[in-house]
This record gives sequence, structure tokens and C-alpha cells, in this order.
Amino acid sequence: MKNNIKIYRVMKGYSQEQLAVLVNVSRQTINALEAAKYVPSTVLALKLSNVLGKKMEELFELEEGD
Amino acid sequence: MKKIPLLPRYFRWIGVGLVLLSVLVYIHQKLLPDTSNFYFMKTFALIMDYPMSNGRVDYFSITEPYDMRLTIQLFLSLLGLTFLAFAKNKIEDEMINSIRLYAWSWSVILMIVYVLGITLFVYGFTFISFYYFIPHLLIVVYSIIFYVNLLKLNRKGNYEE
Repeated sequence: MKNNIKIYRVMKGYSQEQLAVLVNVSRQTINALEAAKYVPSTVLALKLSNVLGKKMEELFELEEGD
Repeated sequence: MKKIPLLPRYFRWIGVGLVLLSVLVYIHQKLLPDTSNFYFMKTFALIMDYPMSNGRVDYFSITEPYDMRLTIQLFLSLLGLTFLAFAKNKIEDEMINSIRLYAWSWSVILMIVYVLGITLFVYGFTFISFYYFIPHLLIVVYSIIFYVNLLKLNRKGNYEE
């Protein structure tokens, strides 16, 4: 699954650390999410969507083979 | 979300202390002369060693003084390792939980392979001594997988892109 978290985070002017604090996870988790190494739970995905002010479909995209 | 029950962080240090204590007990009992009764004590237990030695049978009662060296070492080390494995990390979030689950899954798989291996290839009393350490090995393998993955993650995530 692809995601655009990094793009929208930078557009919002947040650092990984700030975003991590806002969604209550570690900075490493944000890093792993942006590198597509980790797929978040629905709860975390919804939190990210709220904080970044974007719809889930804008944040996450299915890839071929998903 | 269901949370994995974990112990407070300071249990990590209690765990280290208990494991070290079990090592000290091991060293101490090796240094004692063979005739020493230092680790012989009465206990409340079920003892059935009739196929071996003196044929003692005690059904959950206060027993005659019994050699507790192995019991003390196994108990202290297992409790210590459990505290180490179940102590909370500095940061607990869903990704850490997923790494924890991954580590448990692999350690269980490896333990099954270990048990199958010793069942097929180890016989006699040695088989029993290999069996003693299954819970210890399970926790040690889990801890290695968990901390190696955590280390990899921290190394990769050290630099913000």
C-alpha cells in the first residue's frame, strides 16, 4: 500500500516528531509509515487523516498485488 | 484495540537482577563440595522419583530435605527472563506491538522445530534435560528477535528524510 503521508506532513509544516506526538506514536513509526515499511491500523490511519486534514483515499492508495 | 499486558519498565532491571542471581547460584553450587547440604531444604511439593534413585513419593506435602539447586536456578532465571521480555519499552505503540507479535510468532515456530528435533534425535535422560529449557529458550529467542528488529528500526529511523 502506498501512502502520501510525507507529502501532506511537509505541506502542513510538521516534522516527523511533531506528527508522531499529534497521533500518539513514536517518530520511528512515522518514519516506517512514510517508507511504506509499515501499514497502520484503521485507528492510526483515521488519526493521521484528521491531523493532516485529508481524506483516507488521499492519504493511502492500494497498489497492484494488494 | 486490545492491549498486550505488560509490566512497568523497572521490571527490566528486576529481571536482569534475577538472571544474574541465578548465574551466581550456579557458580556458588559449583564451588561447594559434593558433600554440602547447602541447597537441601524442605519444600511443599509433589515428588515422584520412584523410577530413579531412592523411590521417593510425596504428594503435595512438606517433603524431606530435597536438592533445590536446579529448582532455584530454573525458577530465578525463568522469572528474570519473563520480566525482561514483558517489561514495557520507552515508547509503546502499535508498531512496537506488531514487532512483538512477529517476534512471538517466530519464537513459537522455532521452539516447535526445536521440540521436534529433540524428540526425534535425543533419547534417555538427556531428553529431559533438553526439555527443562524450553520456556527459557522461547523467551530468549523472542527477546533476540524483538530487540534485533527494534534496533534495525531505530537505526533506519534515526534520520528524518
